[in-house]
Amino acid sequence: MPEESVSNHQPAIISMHTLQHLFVHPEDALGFDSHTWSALIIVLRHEKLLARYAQRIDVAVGLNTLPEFVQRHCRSAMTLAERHAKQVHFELSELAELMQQSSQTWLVLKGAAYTASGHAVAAGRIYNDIDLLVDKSSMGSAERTLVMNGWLPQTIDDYDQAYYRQWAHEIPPLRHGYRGTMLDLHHNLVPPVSGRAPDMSLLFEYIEITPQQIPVLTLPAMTLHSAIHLFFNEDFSASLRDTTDLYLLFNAFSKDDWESVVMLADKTKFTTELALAMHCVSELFYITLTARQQAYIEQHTHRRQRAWLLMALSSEHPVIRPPGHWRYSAYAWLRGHALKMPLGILLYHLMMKTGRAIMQSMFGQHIFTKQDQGTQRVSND
Amino acid sequence: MLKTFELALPPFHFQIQTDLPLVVDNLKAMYGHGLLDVINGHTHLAYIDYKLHITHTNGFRRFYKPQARFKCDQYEPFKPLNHSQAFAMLEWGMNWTIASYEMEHVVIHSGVLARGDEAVLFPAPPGSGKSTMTAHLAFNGWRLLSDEMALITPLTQSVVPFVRPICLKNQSIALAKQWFQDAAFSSIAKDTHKGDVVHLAAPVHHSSDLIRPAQIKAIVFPKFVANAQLEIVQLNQAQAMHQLADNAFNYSVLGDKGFNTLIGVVERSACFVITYSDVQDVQAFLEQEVLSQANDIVGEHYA
Repeated sequence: MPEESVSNHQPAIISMHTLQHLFVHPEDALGFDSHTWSALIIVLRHEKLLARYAQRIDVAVGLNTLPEFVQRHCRSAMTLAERHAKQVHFELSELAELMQQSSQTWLVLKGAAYTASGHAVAAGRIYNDIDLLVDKSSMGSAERTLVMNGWLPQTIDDYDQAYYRQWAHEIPPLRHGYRGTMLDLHHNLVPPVSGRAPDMSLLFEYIEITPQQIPVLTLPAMTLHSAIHLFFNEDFSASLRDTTDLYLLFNAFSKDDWESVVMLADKTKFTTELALAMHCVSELFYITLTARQQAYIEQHTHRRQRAWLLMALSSEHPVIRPPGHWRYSAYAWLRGHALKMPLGILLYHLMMKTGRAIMQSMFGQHIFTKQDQGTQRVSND
Repeated sequence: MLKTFELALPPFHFQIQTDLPLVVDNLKAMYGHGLLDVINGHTHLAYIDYKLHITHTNGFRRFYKPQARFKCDQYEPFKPLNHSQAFAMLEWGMNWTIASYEMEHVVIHSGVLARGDEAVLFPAPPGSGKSTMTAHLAFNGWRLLSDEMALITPLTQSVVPFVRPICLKNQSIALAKQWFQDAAFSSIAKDTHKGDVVHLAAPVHHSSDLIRPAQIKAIVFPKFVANAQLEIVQLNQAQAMHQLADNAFNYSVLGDKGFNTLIGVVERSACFVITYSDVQDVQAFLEQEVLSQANDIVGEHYA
C-alpha cells in the first residue's frame, strides 16, 4: 500500500540551532531532506511558529521549491493564520464600540495588537486570546459592559478566582458565548502585588490609533511590553514564538525608536527586561550589537541571569529539548514567580498549586478528570 | 511496551505509538498491509505528517479502571476514555487531527462513495444511518472513498479518497456482521458517547482505490426511519448549501475559497433528502436515476 520504497533512515535529528538558523536564513530551507522536514513541521506547529516560518520561506524562495508534503503543511498553517487574523480584526471592531462606551482609556495588547498594528510582527502570529487594557477606574464598567454583550466569565475554581481578584492585574478570562473567542481584561502590564506595576499614565502617552481605529502601543512601547511579557513572567511555554516577535519588532526600529524604548524602560523601571530581550534576540538570531547596546546589556543584567534565561528560551519539544534543560526552565519559572509576587504570597500560592500537582503525579494526570460518561451523556442531552 | 507504527493512509502519513495490545490488534485487523512496523528505529515512509500517541494514562490510575489517552504530538484534545475504547478513540483522534490541521481541502463530515469515478456525498448527523448505507454500498459494487470525511479539492468537484474503516453503531453492528460475514471487524468499544461502536475494515479491491479521486455528482442527506416507504425530496440549491455548510469542518477557515467550493459543488450536483428503511431502495434509485445513465434528468433540473 505505501507508495514509497522502504528505506532505513534513522529519524532526523534537529536542534534549536536548526530553528534559529532557518528563521534568519529561510533560503536554506532548500537543503533539508524529508525526515528533517517531518520533525521540523511537528516542532514548529507545537511552537505556534509554522505559519510564521512558512511565510518567511515563501518570501525567500517560494513554497513551491519545497517537497510537496511540506508545502501542504505550510499552506494549511498560513490559511489558519490568515483566518485567525481576519477573526481578530472582526472581534476588535466589535470590541472597539463596547470599550469606547465603557472606559476612559483603552488599548489592545500583545498578539491582537500585533495583528491590528500591521507591523511585520503581525505575520503568521497566532495566539489564544485577545488582551485588552483599560485604565483602572474603568475596570468595573468595562467588565459589566462586556458581560452584558455576551462576553461571559468562565467557571474557575475558588482559589483561582480569589487569586485573580486579589493579586493579579487582570480579571478572570471572558469568553464570547457564541463565537468562543477568549478575552483578557487588564488594568496594568504586570500584577500590582509585584510592586513593579508602572504608572499606566506613562504608557498611555504611547498610544497610537491604527487606520481601523484600534488603539495600540507605539512600536517602541509595544516592544518594551513584549520584553516585559517574556521576561517578567514564569511561563516560558511560548517563549520561542515570543522571541521571534521581539526580533521582528526590533528589526522594524528606527533610530528614534531605540531612543524612545530606552527612555520608556528607564521611566517604567523595566531596563532589565529590555536588556534581556536585546541580549537573547542578538544571541539567538546572530545579530551583532553596537558597543552602546552591549554596554547597556551589561549594565542592566548579570552574566548568569543572561546565560540561564537564554537557555530557558529553547524549545521544550521532546525532539529538541537538550538534556538538563529542566534546570533552566526551573530557574525561569522560579524567577518569574518571585518577580511577580512577594515571598510570603508566593509560598502560599505555590503550596496551593503544587498540592494538586503532587496528587496528579501520584495518581495520574487525570485523577481529577471525570471519565467520559458515554451513553449516559447522550441521554442527558 | 511502547510500539511504533507507520500508517500510509493517502493522502496522509501517520506515525502511531501505542502501548495498548488492543490497539495493535485492531490496527492490524483494520489496516492490514498499510500498517508498517518500526523496529529499532528503522522507518519505512519518506516522511510523516502527524505523530499520534494512544497510551495508558500514567500513575496508579493504570491499575484501577484503566484509561487510554490520545495525543496528537504533544497536544491532547480529548479527555481520557476507558481503555477498552482506545481503538475507537484513535480513529476519532485521526479525524480530529485532519479536521483541525488540514486546510488544503474543504473537509466535510460526510460519507463518500463512488461508482466508477462518479461520487455521491452522504453528509449526515449520527443516527441517520449514514454508516450503514456506506457499508452496504461499499460491499455492493461501489467504491468507498471515506466513511467520515469528504476531502474536496478547492474550487473543483473532485473528492480525494481518505479510506478508513467504517464506524458502525449500536443496532447496525449486528446487521453488518450478518451482511458481511467475511469482513474484518474491530473489537467492540462499549458505551462510548456514540453508544456501542465497531469499526469495519474498508474493502479495498485495487491499490488505486486509495488514491484515485472521483467527481461529485450528487449529495444525499439520508434519513433512516424503520418501516418507512422510500421517500425522495429534491432540495433546492439554497437548502442544499445550508445543509452542506452545517457539515463542513473548515469551510469558514477557508473563507471565500471554501464558500465558492461548496457553491460550485451544489450547483453541479443533484441534491436529495432520502427517507428510507431499506438501503437497497436507495442504491437502486442512485444507480438508475442519478448517476451516469440518468445524467439527462439531473441536467434538466439544473439547466
